[in-house]
Amino acid sequence: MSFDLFKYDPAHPLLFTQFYFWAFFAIVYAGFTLIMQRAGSKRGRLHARNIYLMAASWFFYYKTSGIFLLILAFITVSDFLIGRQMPRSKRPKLWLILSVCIDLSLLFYFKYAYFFTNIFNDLFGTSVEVFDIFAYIGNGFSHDGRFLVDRIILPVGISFYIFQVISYAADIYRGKIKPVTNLLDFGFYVSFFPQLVAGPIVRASEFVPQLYKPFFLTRRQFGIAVFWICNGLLKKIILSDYLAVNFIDRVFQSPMLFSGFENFFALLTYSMQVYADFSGYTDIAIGVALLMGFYLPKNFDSPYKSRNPQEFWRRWHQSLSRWLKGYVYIPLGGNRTLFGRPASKLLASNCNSFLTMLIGGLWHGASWNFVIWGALNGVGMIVNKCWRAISEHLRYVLMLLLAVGMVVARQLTHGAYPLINMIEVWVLILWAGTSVWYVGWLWGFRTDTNRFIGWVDNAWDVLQTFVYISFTRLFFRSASNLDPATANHEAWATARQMVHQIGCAWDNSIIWPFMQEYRYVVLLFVTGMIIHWLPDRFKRRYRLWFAALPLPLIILAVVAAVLLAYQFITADMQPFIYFQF
Amino acid sequence: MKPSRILLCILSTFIVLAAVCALGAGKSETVRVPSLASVLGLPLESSEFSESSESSEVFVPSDTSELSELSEPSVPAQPVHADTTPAKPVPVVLPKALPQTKLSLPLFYAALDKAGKQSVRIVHFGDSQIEEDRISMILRRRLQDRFGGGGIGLVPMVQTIPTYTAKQTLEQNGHEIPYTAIRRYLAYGPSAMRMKDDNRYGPMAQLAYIDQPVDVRVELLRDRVPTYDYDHVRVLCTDSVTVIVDPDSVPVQQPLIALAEPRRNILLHFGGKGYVYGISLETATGVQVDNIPMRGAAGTNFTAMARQPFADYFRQTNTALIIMQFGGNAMPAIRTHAAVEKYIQSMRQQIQFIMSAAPDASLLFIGPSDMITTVEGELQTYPMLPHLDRALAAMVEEEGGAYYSLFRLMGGAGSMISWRDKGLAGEDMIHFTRAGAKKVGEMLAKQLLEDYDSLVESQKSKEESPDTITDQMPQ
Repeated sequence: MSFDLFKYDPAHPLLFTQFYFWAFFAIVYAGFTLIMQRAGSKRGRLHARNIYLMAASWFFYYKTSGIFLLILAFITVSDFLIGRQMPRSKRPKLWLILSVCIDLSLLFYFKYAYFFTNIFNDLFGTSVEVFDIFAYIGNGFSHDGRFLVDRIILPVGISFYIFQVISYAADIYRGKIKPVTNLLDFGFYVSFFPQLVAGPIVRASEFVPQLYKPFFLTRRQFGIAVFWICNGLLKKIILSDYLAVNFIDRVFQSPMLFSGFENFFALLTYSMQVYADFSGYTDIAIGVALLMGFYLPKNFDSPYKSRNPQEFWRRWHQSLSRWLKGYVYIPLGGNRTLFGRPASKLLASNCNSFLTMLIGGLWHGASWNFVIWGALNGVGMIVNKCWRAISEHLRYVLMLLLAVGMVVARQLTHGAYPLINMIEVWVLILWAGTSVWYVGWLWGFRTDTNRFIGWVDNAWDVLQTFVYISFTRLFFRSASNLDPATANHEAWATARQMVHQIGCAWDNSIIWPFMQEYRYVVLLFVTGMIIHWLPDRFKRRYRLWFAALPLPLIILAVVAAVLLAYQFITADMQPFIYFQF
Repeated sequence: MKPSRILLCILSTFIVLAAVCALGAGKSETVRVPSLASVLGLPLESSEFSESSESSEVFVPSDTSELSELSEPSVPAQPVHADTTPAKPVPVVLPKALPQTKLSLPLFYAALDKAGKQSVRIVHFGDSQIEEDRISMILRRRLQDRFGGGGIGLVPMVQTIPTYTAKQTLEQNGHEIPYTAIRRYLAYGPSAMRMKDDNRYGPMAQLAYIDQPVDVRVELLRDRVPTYDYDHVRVLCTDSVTVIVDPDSVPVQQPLIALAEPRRNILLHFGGKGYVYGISLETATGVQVDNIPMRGAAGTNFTAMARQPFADYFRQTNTALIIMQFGGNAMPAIRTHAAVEKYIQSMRQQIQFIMSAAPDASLLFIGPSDMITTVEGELQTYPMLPHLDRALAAMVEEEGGAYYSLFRLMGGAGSMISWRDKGLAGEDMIHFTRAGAKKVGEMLAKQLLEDYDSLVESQKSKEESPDTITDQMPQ
C-alpha cells in the first residue's frame, strides 16, 4: 500500500476531487509549516520553501504523468539556461527564438504529431503513421520493450507549462523581469502543483517576484481561500461531473439517439459544464495556492454575462486570453501591422484577432474541430465589432435581408439541410428581437436612459452571446477526449450528427416530457445559470461573509460542502429515456 | 495567519470528516455518508465477496449441466419465484469473460453450405444497441467475405437514423426533403405512432405511407466497413404503390428486381398511394444481413403485429437465421424475480411467434449486455441482470434456439465499467461506443464462423466422403 502511494499509476492521478490529493496537500502543508517556522535567515527560509514546494510539485506531476516528468525537467533546465544567457548576449533575440523553438517542438511533437500526420496523409495520399522516437530510445533503440513506439501519448498539462516557460523567456527578452538566478527557484515557478496541469497560465512577470516574498496571509484571505476551494469543488462535482455523466456525455457520444431539442439542450448544458469544470478546477488551484501564500491570477469572471464575443474572451480563461494577447496578438502586429506591414487599424486588428483565435483554437486540441471552434469565435468577434460600428437603420435592414435570405434558402432546399434550418430559425429569432428593438428605438427609447430597456437589451445580448458561444462549443466538445489517431474523423462525425438532429429532428412536443424526466439535470442547469448571473456585488458580499465566519464554522462549512458533493457523486444515475423514434 | 494555524484548521477538518464518516456511514438513507474504508480506498470486507455467500438454491429451469457451465460464480443466485421485493445489491467483481458454448444453429449452417447457389438471409432484430448498422455491418462483412453476397439488406423507406453503411435521402422533384415529410408508423416507441386499424407493419416493424410521388436515394458508403455491391433490389410495398428504378427506368412489377450491373447507388421513384415496408439491396447468392433496430423496444412487441408479413418475408428471402437482441430496455423495470419471470414469459411468446413465422430458420437470441446503475451510491450491474441473463438462456434453449450471452462474454457483472474505461462503452454504461459495437460484431462473427467450421470439421471426420460440404462453399 505504502509502496503504491509513491508509484505512478495512470488510473489514479492526484486529482483535486479525490481524497488522496487532499491527504497529499495536508502532508505537504505540514512540511511547509515546519520550513516556515524554522530558525534561520529569511532568505534561507524562502529558498528552502521553494525547493520543498518544487520537490512536492515534481512528486505531484510524477503521480499524474509518470516518466513525462523528464520533459518537465528538461524544459526547466533548458529555459533556465537560456534565460540566464539572454541578458548577457548581444543577440538576445536568437536565444528567445531558440527557447521558443525548443518549447514548441516538444509541444508539437507530443500534441500535434497525429494532426499533422493526418494532414500529410490527406495531402499526399500516403499512410504514414506516427512513431515515438522517445519510446524507441527508451526501449534501448528497439521497437519492443517497456514503451509503445506506435503511439505518442500527450503528457498532462504540457500546453500549460510550455506556455509558462515561453512567457518567461519573452518577459526576460522584453526586460519585464530579470532571469531567475537559481535553477530550483525556477523549477518551482514552472512546476507549482496547484496550477501545473490545468492552469491558470501564470506569466513569469506575475509569479517570479512572489518567489522572493515571505509568506503572508490574513485571516480574511484564509477564509477566501477556503471559499474558493469549496466553491470549486462543488462546481466541479455538482455542475460539471453530474451533468456530464447523466446527460451531456451521453448525447455527445451518440447524438442520433437523441432528438434535436435534446442535442440543443446538451450544447447549452455543456457550456455550463465546461465552465464549471474549468473554473471549478482553477478556483481550487487559486485557493490552494493562496493557503501557501501565492497569488494566482483570476481565470474566469462570470463569462456568460458577456454581451458579445469580445467581452466573452475577456472574461473566459483570462490567463490564456492575456497570454495570447501578449505573446501572439501583439507580436503578430496588434492593431498596427499585418504580416509585418503597416495596415489600417480595422484590418490589422481584425485579421490579427482572427489569427490569434485560430491559434488559440489549435492550442486547445489537435483536431480540425478546434480550429473551426477558434475560427467561429474569431468570426463572431469580427462580425460583432462591425455590427456595432454601423447605424441602427442599417442594422435593421441587414437583419431583415438576412432573415428573408434564410427563409428563401430554406424554401429552396426544402428543409433538407440541417445547418440551413438551424441558422434560419436563429436568424428569425434575431430578426424578431431586432425588430422590437428597432421599433423601440424609433419611438425614442434608449438603453442608456431607460433602466428597464437597458436591462432587457443587456439580457438579450447576453442570451445571444451565450447561445452563439454554446453553438461554437459543438465543435469544441466533439473533439475533446478523443483518441488523437481518430480525433478528426470522430469529432467531425459527432458535430455533423448533432447539427443534423438539431436542424432536422426537432420536435417541440417532447420538450415538456423531457423537462419532467430530466428534471434534476434541468434544475441544476437553471440553478447554475442563476447563480452565474447573480450580480458581482452580491457574490463578493457572500464571499466576504463566509471569510469572516469563525474558524470552527468554516471547518463545519467545509465538511458540509464535502458531504453535499458526496451526495452528487453517489446519486442514482439518470435513467436512459428515449424521446425520439 | 501563521501556517501552523492553517495546518491546524486543515487537520481539524480531516478529523471532523473522519468522525462523520465513522459515525454516520450507513446510518441514514437520506444523507449518504461514505465509510472510512471507502474514503481511504481500502478493500471492503472479504465476506462481501466470498464465494460462500452464493446461495445453494440455484435457478435451474432446464438443463442443469448447461447452466452450471454458464453460471455466474460471483453472483448469488436466487430462486425465480422467490418474492416480489427488490433484490439486494449484488457485490461487483470483474470476472474474466466466460467462453460461449457452441451455438446450435443447424438450419443456418446447412443454408450456408448452399450460399454459393442461393441467397442466405440473416435478419437481425434488436434495440438501440444495433442502431446505425454498427454491429450488423461487421457480421455482414465477415460473412460476405467468406460466403459471398453484397448489399446492405433491408432498409426502411424513411431512414431516420443514419447508418455507417449507407447514406439515404428522400427527394421530391430532384430536391432533398426532410424525413418528416413522409408519414411513418411504428410498432414500437410512442403509441401515437401506431397504425389505427391495422397491425401489418411488415418485417421492419415500421412502414411509411406515401400519397404523392417521392424518390429514395441510397448510396453505399465506402468508409468504416465498406459493403460489397448489390445486383438486386427488392421493394416491399402494397400493390397500390408504383416503383421505378432509376436510371434503368425499370418498373418494379415484382418484389425482386435484377439490376443490369452491380451497384452502389440507386434512386427509386415511388408513386401512387399506399404503404412501403422496406427496400432491400441484395445479391442473388451469398449472405444478406438485415439490420432492424427498434429503439426503446424490449422485444415484446412482435406478437402485437400480424404474423403473415413476417412469414412471407422470411420465406421469400430464404431467411436462415433470425437474431433477436433484446433485454436492455426491460432491465431498468425489472427489480424482482417475479418481473424476470414475467419478461421471460413474454419473450417466450415472441420467440414462438418468430419461430412459427420462420420454420426454416434457426434462432439466435443475444441477451442484454452488462448494464450499470447506481445501487446505494455505488456503480454496479443492475442487480437482476445476471438472473435475467440466465433465465433468458434457459428459456431460449427450451424453445430450440441458441443463446449468446453478451453479458458473460463481456466479463460478467461490472464489466461494462471496464468497457467504458477502455472507450468501448458510453458514459451511460448501457450503450456501446462505435469501437465497442465493432468489438461485439467481431466477437459474434468469429463465433458463428468458428462454430460453422467446427461443424464442417466434425462432419468431415464422420463422413466417408469428407468434401460434400466444403466443395459447395464459395471462396
